[in-house]
Amino acid sequence: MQAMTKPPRPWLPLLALAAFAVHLAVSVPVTLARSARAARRMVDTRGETPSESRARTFGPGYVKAIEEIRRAIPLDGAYLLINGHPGEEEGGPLWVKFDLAPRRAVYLGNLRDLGNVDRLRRRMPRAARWVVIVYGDYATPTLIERHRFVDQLRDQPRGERHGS
Amino acid sequence: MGRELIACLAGVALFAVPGLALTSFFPALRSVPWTRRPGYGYLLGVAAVAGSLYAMSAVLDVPLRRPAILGTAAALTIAGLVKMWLTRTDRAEHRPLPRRARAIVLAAALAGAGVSAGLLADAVSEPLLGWDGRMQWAAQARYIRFEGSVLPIAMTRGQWFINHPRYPVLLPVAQVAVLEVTGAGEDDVFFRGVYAAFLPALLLVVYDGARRWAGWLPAAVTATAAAGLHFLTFYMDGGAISGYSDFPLACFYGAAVVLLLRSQVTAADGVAAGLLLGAACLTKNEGTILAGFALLAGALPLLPRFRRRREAPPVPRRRLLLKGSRLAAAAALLLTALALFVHWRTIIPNRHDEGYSELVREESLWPDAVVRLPDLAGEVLFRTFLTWEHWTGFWWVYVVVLVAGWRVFAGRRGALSRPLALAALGPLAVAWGAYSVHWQPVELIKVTWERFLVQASIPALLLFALALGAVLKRALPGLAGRLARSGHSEKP
Repeated sequence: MQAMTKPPRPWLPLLALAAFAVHLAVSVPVTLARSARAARRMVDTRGETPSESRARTFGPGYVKAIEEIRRAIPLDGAYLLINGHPGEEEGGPLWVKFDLAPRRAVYLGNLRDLGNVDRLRRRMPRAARWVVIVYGDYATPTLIERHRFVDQLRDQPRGERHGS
Repeated sequence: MGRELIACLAGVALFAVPGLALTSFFPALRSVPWTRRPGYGYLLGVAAVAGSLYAMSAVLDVPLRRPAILGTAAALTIAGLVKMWLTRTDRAEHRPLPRRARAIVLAAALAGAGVSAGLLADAVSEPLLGWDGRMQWAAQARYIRFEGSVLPIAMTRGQWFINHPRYPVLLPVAQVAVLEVTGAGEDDVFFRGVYAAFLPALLLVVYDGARRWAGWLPAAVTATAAAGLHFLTFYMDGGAISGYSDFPLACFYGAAVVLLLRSQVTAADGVAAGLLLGAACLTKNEGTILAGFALLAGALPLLPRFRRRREAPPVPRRRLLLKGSRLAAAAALLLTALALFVHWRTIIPNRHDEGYSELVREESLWPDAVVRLPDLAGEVLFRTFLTWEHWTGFWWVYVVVLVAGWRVFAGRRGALSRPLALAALGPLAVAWGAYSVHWQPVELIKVTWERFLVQASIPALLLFALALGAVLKRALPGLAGRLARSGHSEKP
């Protein structure tokens, strides 16, 4: 008689299976839908050049400015990179550095913290003839010749350095 | 679009073809069915091709240009094909699945393929986004490509602005290989296909490991669950869609753990595991520590106390020696990769880096590792369990399944589940160490914790599959009986 009765099904394994089934039912369709959207985007953007796709993502002003800076600084050239709009968690200088690589950068930090101009000049390597100032994520970066930048800096008191 | 798609696929083939050919050198991989073998093949291909190029450039100053890249890929492919020809009669028997099982496995494969195709579509049509991909890996690749060397001036001279210049550059070298071979322009991101292809590789390794140890149903649904996780797939700061090195590291580490725990044992398989561990070491700084965890996990079943457990069957001395030689072979290759890494990094002056080694020396790892725990636990638990958009509640399910399937830690299954648990905890231990010495640990948790979960994903998912098998056995005993007849192909 005892052999005929089935042992009760444990509730925890059943709960585990149910929870997993719910998880699968929610997460997999959502990810597949994301995948379908990516495929759709690929079809919609067919024929785009890398420059057009970058302009769509980062903004035409930013991409145009990067292309102009690339034309001015040769691939084996160097430049001074300055953050004109320091803010929390901003990647602006990093994105510009990436977009201008393999041109080599010397990072001088925040514009408003640059300090004494003569001391700053000593930190500038001879090879870096250009200064690139970044104003936050994907805002249009500015390219200035090094000597002009130093002159401007000398004329501008420290408190007024906003990089406009 | 057509040009980008072809270039992306060519970039993937640059590693997948030599890697697949190389699998013929390793008996444990020769026994993997062709439907699953590309997972290991792709990882071996990236490890062997990019690893060789890294070594040739760092040690012999060979320029990273088309002749070296194509020559390396061709040499590895030819060697693998010759071995394949010589071992063509050495075929493993594979038990076919029942028809209903085939349908479920096919559905899982379609889900994985669908998600992978979406990643490839994004790689073809979108520029690189995400933080570390552009700050670190792809930026390094641009300097390396320009000079054709893993020691470009931008990295070797301390005046130039480079973030973490001493981070290993296996993945940037892989990027350079793809960009050179495809003749990519400055803004072409054909290398993104290489990162996207790590997802199908991970899914195949998870399916293969779980299929061996837990049966076809836990394997199929676990792989499907992995394909459905947003953080593993479409998350821009750490998923397969990104340009981060965490996902590739997870694949190298996890696949090596699977190879080191396989019951089929030859020293040659240790070489395959060693290649993957070497790649882990050359992918990220913590890769070396994780490789140590992988070796420890592989050694765990050999420890006398572990073997003397009442439930464990006695292991013949010859088998122990073979397992030891497999570990030794893996350790030897890992040490070779480590020597290369140390040689390379000593040439590069460090700057713009957290300097964890100095922090560990200066700060008190002890007692901060314990004292800080209450402050850290809240953020870690939040990131693990309450970031619904990243994991869709997966870690809640994970805990419930593991508790319900606790029996996998007892008896014979324990010989497998305990090393897997150790391997899954490895990346989390590294995270704990980092958070114990960092000056802003809570901020660090926000941007790194989930990436450590990614690094732990393969052993964690395999453990999940084992527990799921036990859960199925208890909840649905009839189904479990059918699974036992058709699924398990390898005893722990």
